[in-house]
Amino acid sequence: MRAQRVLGIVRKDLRAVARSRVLLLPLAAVPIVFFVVLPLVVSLLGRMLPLEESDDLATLLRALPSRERARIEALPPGQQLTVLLFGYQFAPLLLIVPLATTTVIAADGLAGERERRTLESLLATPLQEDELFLGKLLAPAIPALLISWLGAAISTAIVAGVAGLGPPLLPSPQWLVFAFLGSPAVTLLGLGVVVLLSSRVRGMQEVSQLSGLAVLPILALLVAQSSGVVLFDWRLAVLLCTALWILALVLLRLGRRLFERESLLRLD
Amino acid sequence: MEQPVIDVNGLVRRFGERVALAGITFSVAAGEVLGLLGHNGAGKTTTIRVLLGLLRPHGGTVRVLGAEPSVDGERVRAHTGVVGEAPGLDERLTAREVLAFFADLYDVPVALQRQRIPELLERFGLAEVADRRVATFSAGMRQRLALARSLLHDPQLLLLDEPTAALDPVAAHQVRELIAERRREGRTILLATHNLSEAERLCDRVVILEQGRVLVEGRPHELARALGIPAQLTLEIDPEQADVALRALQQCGAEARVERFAGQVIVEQVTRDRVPAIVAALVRDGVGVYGVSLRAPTLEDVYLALHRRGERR
Repeated sequence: MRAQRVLGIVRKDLRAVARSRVLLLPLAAVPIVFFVVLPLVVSLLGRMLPLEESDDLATLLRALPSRERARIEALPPGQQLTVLLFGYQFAPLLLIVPLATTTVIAADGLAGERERRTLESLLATPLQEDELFLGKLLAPAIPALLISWLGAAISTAIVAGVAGLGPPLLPSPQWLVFAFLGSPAVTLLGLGVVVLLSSRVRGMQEVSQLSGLAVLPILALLVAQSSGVVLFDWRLAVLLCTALWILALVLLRLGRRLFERESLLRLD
Repeated sequence: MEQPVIDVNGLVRRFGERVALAGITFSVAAGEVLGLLGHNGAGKTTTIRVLLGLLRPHGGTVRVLGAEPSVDGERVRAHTGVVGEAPGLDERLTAREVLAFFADLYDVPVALQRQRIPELLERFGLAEVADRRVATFSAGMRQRLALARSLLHDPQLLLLDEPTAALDPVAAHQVRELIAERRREGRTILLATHNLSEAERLCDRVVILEQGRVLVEGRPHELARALGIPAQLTLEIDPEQADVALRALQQCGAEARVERFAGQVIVEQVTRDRVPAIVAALVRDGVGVYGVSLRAPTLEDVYLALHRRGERR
């Protein structure tokens, strides 16, 4: 495996993405919403709206285990809502940004390469299939993780600045688990899904749209947590992220098997 | 005897039930330019893909630069430059970035890249637009860039698949000139094309494929003789004597027609050795002959004759 070839693919794919307005728009919009707008709204709302004044939010609080609930109830009213939403309810949202970023860039790098009829010229080089596979994985994974971790830091800073909340209350343990164990897991999961779809589906748009469906289970988690069906404390968050890691690695292994010159060319 | 650069023996390749290559055999010697001719779907692109190790053969043997592409494809591709009908360039990159990217993939050391990329941009007339995005390039410029890319790693072998098919006549001419230069440099080239005049001009030998089979193989100017394809004789005469000339030619068994306006008698189906007898017959009957020109059969004549024979079968 030669680093020069792998890095060449990463550089080229990222440079191409950086010059595509169609791709940059979703890549910028999703992190801004989740890492800037949402923490800002939650922090401001928390200051203005004490928990006991809203029946819905009080219901969310009651869904927490008694120990967690007691911790939040002990806080000043202006901080309770922020800790409840940012630290607990919205923690799984940290998984959406890496997943969305990965699928957009990976769909462009895999299915897009075929759609632009540039794939065969890559396959005609001495590039090994492992090198091509790794390059095509790293190109989306690097920005996805950087954006996620940087965004997580920015959102924490916003909450700290606006609501005056910091450690040990925020970030919460489950928030940290989702950020550092969950983000890489969903990044790999998104890659696995895109690799598999790209070996079956011809168009970049189709791959992008179908892989976007992977966000739905995360939204389901959010709904389940909001309705009190389940609460992802840090232990359950670790378990969930471990399951995501295993699923991601299985999908990538399957994807690698299909990632051969002849099968890549067949769809070209 | 020197080993051929490409040695294909009984190559078979199927796609499901469809047989794309039905046991083709040919070879290309070092420094030779071989034309692979045929209609669309004759098997030219499939052959190139097998030579590169992109498709596995289902039968027969293939050796390129001494290696088996399906086993040691990396080695074959490391010493082979490729240009396809579609140039395969990411339009979002500049010409310089495209070359730098492929230089990385071909393991060209960075120090050498700094020297070779500007050289190639200059040689292919792209130095002025090196930092412009490929999206702004014409089809001809893109194909020139693809040719420059194919030479980044100074390959021993060039595989060119319909490199001028999508180009306008001027751009196609430029690309042919560039291929002719590579030929003069002594590179081994396999040129798949259905442009017969291009093949005639650029190739030392041609292989004509039809439905995955080799119809004929040989040097363009020898194929006609080997296949017994006749030439065309044009005689310049006085238009007033056209009827006399036609009678004289019929008497000596020649198949002739008259272009009265141009003052020419065109005799079809002529072999070179019959020319003196035809001219003598005209002169004997008092026809003034002012010019004699024998047009040797072109590759197109050969191709069409083979095609007609195929249809008759």
